[in-house]
Amino acid sequence: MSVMVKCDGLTKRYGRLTALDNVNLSIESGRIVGLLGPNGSGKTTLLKLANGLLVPSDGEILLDGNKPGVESKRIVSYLPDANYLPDWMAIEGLLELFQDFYEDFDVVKAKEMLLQLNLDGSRKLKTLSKGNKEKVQLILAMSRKAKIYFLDEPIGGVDPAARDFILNTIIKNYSEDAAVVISTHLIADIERILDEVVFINQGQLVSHRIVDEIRETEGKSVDALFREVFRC
Amino acid sequence: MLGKLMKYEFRSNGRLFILIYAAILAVAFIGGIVVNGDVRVEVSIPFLILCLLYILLIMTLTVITVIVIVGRFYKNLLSQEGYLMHVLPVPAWNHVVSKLITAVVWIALAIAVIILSGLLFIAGSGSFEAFREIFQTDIIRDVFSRWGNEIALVTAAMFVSFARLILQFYVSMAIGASASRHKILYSFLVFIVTIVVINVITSLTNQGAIVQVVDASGNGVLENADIISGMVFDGICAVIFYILTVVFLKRRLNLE
Repeated sequence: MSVMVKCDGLTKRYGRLTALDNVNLSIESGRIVGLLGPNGSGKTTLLKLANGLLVPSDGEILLDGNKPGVESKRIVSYLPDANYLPDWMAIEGLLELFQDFYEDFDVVKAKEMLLQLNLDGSRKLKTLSKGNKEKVQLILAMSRKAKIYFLDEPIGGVDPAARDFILNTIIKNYSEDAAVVISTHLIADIERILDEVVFINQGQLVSHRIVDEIRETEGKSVDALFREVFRC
Repeated sequence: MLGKLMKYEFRSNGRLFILIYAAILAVAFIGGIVVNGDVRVEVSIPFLILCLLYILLIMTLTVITVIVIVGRFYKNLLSQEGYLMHVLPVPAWNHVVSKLITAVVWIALAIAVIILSGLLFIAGSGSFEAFREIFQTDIIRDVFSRWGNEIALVTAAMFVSFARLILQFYVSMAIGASASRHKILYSFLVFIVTIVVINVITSLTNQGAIVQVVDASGNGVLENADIISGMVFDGICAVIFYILTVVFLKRRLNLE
């Protein structure tokens, strides 16, 4: 196993507000890691920093040894928590775009997933429901043979049946040389697939633990522990 | 990668532009047919309607070209679509250059369509004699042999000026979007600042963009040296705006 994501003193400030405060974190390949925290805790900021959409105020983040840039973007697959795909494009056009720019994009796999979810490739994004758009976004992200996956709230806007599909898709893509980081607050739905959890609150890393260890030593689920740690 | 980015740039608005181009050319051609070679200006209702439609279409083309150039940069790179574009494994300068080239092509095509519409009007009216006369009397050849260098120079200066203006929009949006709030307001303010700075420099140095050169010449005679100095000034501004745009996209990106 090698270190795929490494944060050293990672800090992001917006004026006086510190969104991420001196985060030190290491994530190895072959692991599915839950990035858990209440709303506004800094989860999305961390993922944006990892994808070069924000620049750190202090510290650094390395993806397979590289700072966010062209090299890291080749090996990182990112699913943002935003409706980010161009509405004028058809699903097939998006498959072409991903094929054009990402060498690791598996178009056959993407088409299989579209078929499984009954999504017609000729449909334009603007004609799809919010849930179906999210499914397309997930299919695009998971059809890459990336080394690192950053999934921001991947099951937030879809129905329970699709949630199972999404979680199974993530597990199927799980490989020894890839790391998956899932940011979510829907812990109960997702904890069955997690190997590790990172609790984050008010921009600070609260704890980084192995899921089996939590169950063995504390005899409780991640969801229960989360509720305990972040009790309002 | 630049070519691939441009492919999607042209695709994003190509259909809209093709429709407007086709409408302008069709109206010009039909207008010619309505006039039907009659050299007297026939003020018929259909002809007036076509004239009005033609003017409206040209205005639409102008407005849409500007909106597309400005809007495409903002929407594609600085709002939600930025989540797609900025995670593509391409350097920031590729995004700026692909959009700049596409924008210049849209402007060049708009100018070409307007010129072509004039020719189609003549063709539609059946007045090919006028064409023949123009070509047979060597007017065009004379004009180009006498003023060819000036025409080439003014055309080059015009396109450098377009590039400077486009990059002025880009840099304003890139800097404005790096603010934590009121991004559009900041973009607008940065644009005003760039205008003021350019005006101050041109008035201090008594030279500048091609527009100022034309105004300052007064008697309508353009000195090549003035055009060249205006073009160089525009070129320097364009390079500065380009570098700042790339730096802000790379180092100060702040997507919501």
